[in-house]
Amino acid sequence: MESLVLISSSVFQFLQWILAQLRITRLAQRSLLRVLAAGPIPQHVGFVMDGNRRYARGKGKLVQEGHGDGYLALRRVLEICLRLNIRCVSVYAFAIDNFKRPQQEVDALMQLAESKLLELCSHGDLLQEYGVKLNVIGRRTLFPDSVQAAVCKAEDLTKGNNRSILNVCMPYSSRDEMTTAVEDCIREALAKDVDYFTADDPIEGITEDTIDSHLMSVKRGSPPLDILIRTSGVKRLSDFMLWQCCENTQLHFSNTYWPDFGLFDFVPIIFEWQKSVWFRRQDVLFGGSSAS
Amino acid sequence: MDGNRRYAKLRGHKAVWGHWKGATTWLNLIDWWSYFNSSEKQEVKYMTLWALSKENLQRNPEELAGLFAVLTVTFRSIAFTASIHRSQVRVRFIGALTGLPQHVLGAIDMLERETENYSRAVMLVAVGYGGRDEVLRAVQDVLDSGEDLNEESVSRKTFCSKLSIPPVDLIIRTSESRTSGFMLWDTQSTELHFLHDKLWPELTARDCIHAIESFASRERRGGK
Repeated sequence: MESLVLISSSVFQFLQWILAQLRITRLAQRSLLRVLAAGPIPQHVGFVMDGNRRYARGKGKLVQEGHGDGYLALRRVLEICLRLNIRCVSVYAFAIDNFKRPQQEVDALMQLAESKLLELCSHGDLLQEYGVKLNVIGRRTLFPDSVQAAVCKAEDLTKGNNRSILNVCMPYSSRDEMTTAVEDCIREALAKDVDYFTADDPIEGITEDTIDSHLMSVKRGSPPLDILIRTSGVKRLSDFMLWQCCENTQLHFSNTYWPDFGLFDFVPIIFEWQKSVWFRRQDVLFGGSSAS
Repeated sequence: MDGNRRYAKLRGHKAVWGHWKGATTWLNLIDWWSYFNSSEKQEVKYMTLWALSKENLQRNPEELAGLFAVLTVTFRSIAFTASIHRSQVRVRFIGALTGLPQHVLGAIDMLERETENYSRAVMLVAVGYGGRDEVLRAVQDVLDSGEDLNEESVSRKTFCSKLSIPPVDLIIRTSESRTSGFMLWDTQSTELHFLHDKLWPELTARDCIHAIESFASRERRGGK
């Protein structure tokens, strides 16, 4: 009697194991994320989403479809980051220089931006589920009116969220961000100093930290940038967050195109970062011996 | 020029030993550069070396004293290096030269004077340089001169622009995958080449050639 029970229970376990195999990929992914989350997690990760057009050309699709697939990759990677409790994610969606591209492509990108921004922020979707606040950073007056309206609406929908931040940089140029920040600093300094015309140097109060606190991203609560990832094998910064990429920001250049970027590209990057943090801690504990 | 102290620690020496090794690599690099310029069809006309950052000046005084000694001796050696004079390289210094002891400033002065008549190539040495600091100074210069504050006017007042040197095209960094704000404003479209498993004293001529080949094969689209 007992042996029968034993055999049937082991058969049952075997069946359960087979069923489990089918779900193993999702479980393995979740476990991997949990292992990562046990170590130090970067507070702010930036992505330069490069390679959509090359990806599309490689697969014989239209460039617009490449950008569409890029949007799906964004959702995928964003969900991974949010699962890992990364507090702030910045993505380089559109550069001010990109307006030089063929008009058809720019129009398609504008349409994509308009529809997908609202989709991301709609009730029940990714941003609301994880309590993410959306910030659109850049010189939005360069966009057509419909896109600007969509941007305002999207930001409005998520403004009450405070668990994480998503910075979508469009149309963005780091030099533009820095120049705007400096202008704000000066305006503030002038506003405070009533007797500007008699004072010697009212601007002397502006330091690196003042400019830092006036940057569009920092003003809206972004912590310093920890990791910057650029896909498609290109090794450039292309005017993305030049100011924020100081001292401790690790730069990673991945050879995959953005629409193909996924968990198994992202995980080694996080591991590398955790390793470097560990080394830095060792150095601090055992008396600075790492080069600057 | 990153990784000197780590190199020293790995071999059981003090940090200053690593800096001496680093200085040797620097002198070798000048020789390789000179050879490259004379033998290849294309010339690398401008080279910048980041010797000391603003943050480095916060290190402990003992190490700083050693570092300053290395710098002084290196600058003097460069002034008497055959390659510099053969290839007619002008050496100029950028960065905030504050907080440096007299002997370093003296060596800097001497090196600039020795090479001031040359013009075939330029070697910039960044001492006391901080990326954000450069932007801040550029901004202050723009405001002082009363110009309109926009991207172009700031671009005109960076250290390189003030010396009529074009913005940097390729940055090679050893031992880390960071820019640490080097040439912050100018790195808008700069290609980056990281040698993160090599420390500065381990740099070879081949690594430099690889970096240049990799640069030649890159497609620079400028946003289009």
